[in-house]
Amino acid sequence: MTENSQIPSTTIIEPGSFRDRHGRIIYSQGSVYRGISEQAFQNWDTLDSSIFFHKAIQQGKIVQTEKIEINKLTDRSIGNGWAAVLKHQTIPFISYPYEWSYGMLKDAALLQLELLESAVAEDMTMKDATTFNIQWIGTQPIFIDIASFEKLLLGTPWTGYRQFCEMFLYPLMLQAYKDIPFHPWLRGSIDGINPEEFNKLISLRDFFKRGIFIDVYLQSKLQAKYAQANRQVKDEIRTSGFRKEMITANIRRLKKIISNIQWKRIKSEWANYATDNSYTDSDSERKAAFVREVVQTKPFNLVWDLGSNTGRFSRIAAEKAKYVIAMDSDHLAVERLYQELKKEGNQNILPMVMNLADSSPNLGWRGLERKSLIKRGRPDLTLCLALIHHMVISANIPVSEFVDWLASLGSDLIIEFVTKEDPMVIFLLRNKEDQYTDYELDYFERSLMTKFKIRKREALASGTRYLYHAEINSSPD
Amino acid sequence: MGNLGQIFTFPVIMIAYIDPGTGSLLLQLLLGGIASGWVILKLFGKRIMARFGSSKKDDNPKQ
Repeated sequence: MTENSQIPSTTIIEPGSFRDRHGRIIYSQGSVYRGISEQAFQNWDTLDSSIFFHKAIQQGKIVQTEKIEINKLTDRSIGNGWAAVLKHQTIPFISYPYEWSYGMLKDAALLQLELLESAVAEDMTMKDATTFNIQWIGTQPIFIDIASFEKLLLGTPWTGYRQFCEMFLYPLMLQAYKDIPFHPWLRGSIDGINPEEFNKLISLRDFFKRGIFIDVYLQSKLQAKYAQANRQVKDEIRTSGFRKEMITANIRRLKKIISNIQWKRIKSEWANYATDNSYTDSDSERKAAFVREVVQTKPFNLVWDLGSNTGRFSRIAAEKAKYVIAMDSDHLAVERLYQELKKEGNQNILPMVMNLADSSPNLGWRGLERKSLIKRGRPDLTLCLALIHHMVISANIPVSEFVDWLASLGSDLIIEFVTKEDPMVIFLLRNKEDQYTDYELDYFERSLMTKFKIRKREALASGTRYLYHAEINSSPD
Repeated sequence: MGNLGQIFTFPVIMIAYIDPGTGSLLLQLLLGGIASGWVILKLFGKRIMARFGSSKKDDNPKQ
């Protein structure tokens, strides 16, 4: 073991990275490392000498990765127990498939297939196919799990095919064919939807839709049948004469399915897309100017735009800030924003589907494998525009609770209070008993001042909206 | 004598920490056009037999 003085306090083994025994993610001094076993090291050598791997890195499709000499590490204990250590490019903000819009999951699936196809062409394969191996740099999906690549043993089928269906294909089909959002399903079951369960959702009407007969029906039947297989089947597969061209053919078939199925709602509702606002034009301009003024004041590293809607203010923040997370609970809004940003090749705004009243929790073994939202990186600026009325009146969160939560983010805040005279609030209250006695401007301001220092306050021309720029109190309350 | 309770893995021909699923592997063979007829028969055999009024019950063949 190295002496204590050589171990920086910031070296942490990623507690959620344990499923594959051949490697482990380790953080040290702001960098991401991967310790790999002897076997994984051999696969790494093969990968490193391949053409597709370096091409994909160049194109930003795989994280930049290099082998690091253990004796050159500041903290050499990182290498303990491992045959080699790799260093990876860092991802600005981690996200999970139950937070992605339909188009994001689709593009992640296509990336997985594309990388697999190019790997197979050079006699390599990907041993798994999990959505957690893909992250985002803005709207660019990027593959992060180098250890997934290994030498293809010729004559064997693709081991990741079932997992690909469970984690990518079935969720997409659920939303494309049934218009059921896949998010609760993936959050509820981090390993995806299994073939037998998905098959139960299929009716006669679905039977001839792309992918249903083969990837759902046949797979579920064969899986059920051979759940407890014997030696005969094993030999059957080994001596079958399977060729890698069959993997490639299957990949192309899957690519075609995923490229062609669509979430119907995109087509029908975009035409009628109405943004949630009751602004006068001058309100809208003033709001944009207000945000822009604040964003210019200092270099913000991470901005959270809560209730981002059309992404207008995310874009303004992104003009100056390093990275912006655009969160909204409306799937369609997030999808629309994603498609627009993708067309522009944007790399510093990450759209996410998020219900702030029920944000992503810790999941997986001991709640360590998938982190809750706040654990992934605190913002230094939070935008909370045209949101508080939804949180308090629709989601029934008390004003002081919401302000308290905002304070727990520990960041600067731009927040908009929408009064009860506003048409939008009247609309939200239309079928409800108005129990929201705390939803008053004075009370709101007082709550805000218990945790924040108000730097700027502006009443918008409409008379029903008030903007604040607030800084978190440095001394704890 | 197979062990019916055992989850099927491929220690020799494949290296993976996830279970690829025997059925999913067989499906790939089927798609490749190389799974032998008996795989398909085994799968649909009971139904075909039932259709033709066979009274044979063949649930879990002894090893």
